[in-house]
Amino acid sequence: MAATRHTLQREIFSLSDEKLLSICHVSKAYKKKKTSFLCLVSTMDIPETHVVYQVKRSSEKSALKKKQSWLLSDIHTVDGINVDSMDLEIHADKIYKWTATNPQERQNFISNLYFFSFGLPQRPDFKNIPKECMTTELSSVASTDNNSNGISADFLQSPMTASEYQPITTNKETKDLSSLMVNCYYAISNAELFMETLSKDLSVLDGENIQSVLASEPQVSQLMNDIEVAIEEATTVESQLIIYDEALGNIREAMERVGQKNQAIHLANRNARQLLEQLELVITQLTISPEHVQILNEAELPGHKDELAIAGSELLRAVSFQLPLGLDKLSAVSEQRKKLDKLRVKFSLLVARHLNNLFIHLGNDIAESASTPGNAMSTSFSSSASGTKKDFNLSSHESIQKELEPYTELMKLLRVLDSKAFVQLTKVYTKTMSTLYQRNFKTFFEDAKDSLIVGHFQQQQTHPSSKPGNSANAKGDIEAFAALTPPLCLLGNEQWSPQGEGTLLDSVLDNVLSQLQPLCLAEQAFCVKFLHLDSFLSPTTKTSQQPIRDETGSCSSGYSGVEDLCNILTTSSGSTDSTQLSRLERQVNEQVRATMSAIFPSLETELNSLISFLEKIDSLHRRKLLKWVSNIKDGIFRIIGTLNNHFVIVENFHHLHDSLARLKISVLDHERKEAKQKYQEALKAYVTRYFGRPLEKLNFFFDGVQAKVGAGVKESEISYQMAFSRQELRRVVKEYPAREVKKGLEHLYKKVEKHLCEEENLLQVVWREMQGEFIAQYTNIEKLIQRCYPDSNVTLEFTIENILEFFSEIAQSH
Amino acid sequence: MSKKPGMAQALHKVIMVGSGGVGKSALTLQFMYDEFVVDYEPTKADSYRKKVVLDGEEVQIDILDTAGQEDYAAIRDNYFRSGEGFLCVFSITEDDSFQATQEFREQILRVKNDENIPFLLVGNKSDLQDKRQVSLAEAQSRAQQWGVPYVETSAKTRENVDKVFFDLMRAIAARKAQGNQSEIGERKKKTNCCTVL
Repeated sequence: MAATRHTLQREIFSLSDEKLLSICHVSKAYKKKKTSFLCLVSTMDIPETHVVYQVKRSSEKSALKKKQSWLLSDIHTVDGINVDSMDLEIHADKIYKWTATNPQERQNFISNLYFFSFGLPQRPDFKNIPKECMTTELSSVASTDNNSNGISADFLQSPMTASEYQPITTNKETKDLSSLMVNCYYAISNAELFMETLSKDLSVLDGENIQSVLASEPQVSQLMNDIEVAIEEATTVESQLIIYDEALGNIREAMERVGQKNQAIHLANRNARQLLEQLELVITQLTISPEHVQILNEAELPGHKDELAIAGSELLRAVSFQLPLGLDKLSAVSEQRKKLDKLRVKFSLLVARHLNNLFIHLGNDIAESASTPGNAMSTSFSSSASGTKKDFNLSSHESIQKELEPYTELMKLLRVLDSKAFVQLTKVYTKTMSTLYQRNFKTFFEDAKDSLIVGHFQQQQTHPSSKPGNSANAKGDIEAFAALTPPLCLLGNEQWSPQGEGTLLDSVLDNVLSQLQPLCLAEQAFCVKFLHLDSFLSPTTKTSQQPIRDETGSCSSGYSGVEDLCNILTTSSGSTDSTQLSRLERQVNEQVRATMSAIFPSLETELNSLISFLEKIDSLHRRKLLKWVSNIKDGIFRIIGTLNNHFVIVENFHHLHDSLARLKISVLDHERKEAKQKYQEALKAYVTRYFGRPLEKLNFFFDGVQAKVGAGVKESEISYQMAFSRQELRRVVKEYPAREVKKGLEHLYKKVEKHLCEEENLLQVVWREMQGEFIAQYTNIEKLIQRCYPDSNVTLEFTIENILEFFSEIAQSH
Repeated sequence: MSKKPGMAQALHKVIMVGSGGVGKSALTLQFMYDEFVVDYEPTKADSYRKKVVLDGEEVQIDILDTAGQEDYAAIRDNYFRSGEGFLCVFSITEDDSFQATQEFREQILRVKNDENIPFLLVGNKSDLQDKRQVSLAEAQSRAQQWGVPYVETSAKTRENVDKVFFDLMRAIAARKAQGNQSEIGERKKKTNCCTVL
């Protein structure tokens, strides 16, 4: 190998001043026999260039010859094909393929190629070459070519030589060089001189250089000093900065803490403010001004009524104040509450005791004064029928009521503040009044009886033979009376003066009733006001309700009529007075009724006994009585008619008819029929009034249609009216799908159920009526649709079967 | 004044059913007011209440007099539902009215969903024997088939009028007492069961 290399160097490359760097023994692919050498060669001149030669023997015996050559910089790719393969491709002007004979040789060759091409500006690409070959060290070359030390030393140097050479790059250099060369025009002819000149110049320059270096030494040292100073300064600044930084770090923590504290302060502040607000609220709401406290503590009735009422309402405000949740657990609050409670107790004690005493006192007082005529307010009645004056008076309670009226406010307060005391007080009032009334009534009725006896006696004396005539007359009276509209004497508070003979009974009864009625009404009105019976959540316990109607059956006929009057008046005024929701009305009514019956316990029995007494006196006068009753009924009709509540009207007429039917008085047949008719009318009115609702819009729409038809619009042209177009019809019909209708009906049923009272048991009747009405409306609407919108294909979204189904379902669910 | 209403006083709800013109209202009015109304006026629905003494105890009776001619049977559902006992009336002078009782019976049973509901079959107008169309045997056999009593009445002569109402009230009262007892019995049974378990 080495021999081959030597031979090649000597025989071929030395001739052309070239140096062999590496060889590789290769053969053409598929032509193993024809071997040649690939030689990497560098030129001796500077800058050196590397050339790859292919050297081969043209024949077996002939000498080695350069066959082809490529500049290393012209080669663009060196391809090892495969790591383990022996093949080698060089891409230059075209692709050359060889196969190496020795892998080691091949590897070295490639390494050298790589190494020498490394410094080139345009390196060939090395493909598929193992990594170890692609180093910039040439150890392998050196180790394998131990024998050619000189060469390897040579080419070890060669890269360095290459690096010392600096091409002229800038224009200025070129100019300088050319001007230098111009000055030394002899250079080419006399190189030596040129060299000399150059070296002389060089030495001059060197000297100058040294001098300037020397001259700049103090400056340098100065500079050094400056630098040192600067460094010191920098260090100081740095240390200063570090200190500052630390300080800042500390401050930041402090600032953070301050921020937190600030926030906490804000929070505390806000809390404190809220607390203050709460406290202020609590205190202002729970505090009663000292004057009021003083009044509550020291007031005496009846002197300080008004002040006490004001203080009481103040107390009520404080007591009923709803504290925010949790605040009532504060001991101060509970203390204040206790204090308020004490005041409350004191208040209720004061008011209750005083009123209690007042009630009893008034009860006794009036009872006493009642015996002395003229003292109490009284109505007197004189009858001139028999020419004898018969006075019997029923003392009015107006004075008591006047006396008590100023306490209304206090009663109201008491009711809220101490319902127990209030209930107690109510009972006391009721009891006192009832005894009082009982006593009053007793005397009153006795007087009435006396006057009857006297009158009757006198009458019989003066007209001893007038009895049969009387009866005939009475009959005539009644007939005339039935034809005329009788004056509403009682209910209009007018006096009805009976005419003709035998009017004594009438007048006495008239007198009795005309006095009783306003008295009862006044008492009721007063009770409602004074005892606050109309309040919603009346704490008054339901006093035993007197079953007024229960006794109807056992009472005499005339009496039951009167009693009905009382009853119905109570009901009616109760319901007109109360403005609450309808479901509360009944409760209030019950309460009013209960209280009234507690206050007038003896009224019925007294009336009863009076009437039986009347009957005893003269059975003939029963006729008169009947006339009387019929008169009362008329008044009742009128009264009932003025009520607002349809269902009460229905119930009352129903009850009235029932009562009349029980009486079995032939004279009253007319009234009975009237009652029945009115009952039916009222029922109808009630049903239609409450029935409009489930299909309100539909009804409204078809009412309009009906009105148009009534006004002369042809049925077939209705659908051309804007408001009654088919679209409108569709829209209205859409609003009532079956589901909605069912809901509406259920709602209606519930409402009716709520309205009607158990006692009259009219729910089924009313509901049946409503079902009928509903179906009637339905068929009417269907009919109108068929007539006015014949081709529209619009039908209601529910059928008659649906409706019946709903009715059945409602029935099943109740 | 001391009496408490509603307390202990029983209330029995009776419904009058039957075809139109058989005398439901006449029976009711005779019972309520001891009167016989000659004029015929079709009823829609009417309610009556009366206090009576039934076997020594004062009770209240609610009578719902209903329409014989009703366009839609479903309208009756609601009051059938509310009734506790039924007087199913027909006229012995009109076979159609007797045939119609079958339908009423079925509807009542369906609505009340109770085979043993207090129920009386009432053949009215017994004073008009010469116009009789429904024989006693025929009516009795139907009543037997249903397991209910059959009574013939006359609203005009008041024959058996009180009887039908009182018999029905007794049946209702018995039914209520039985209901209470069976409730108690059930409770007893339950407690027994519990102890056994």
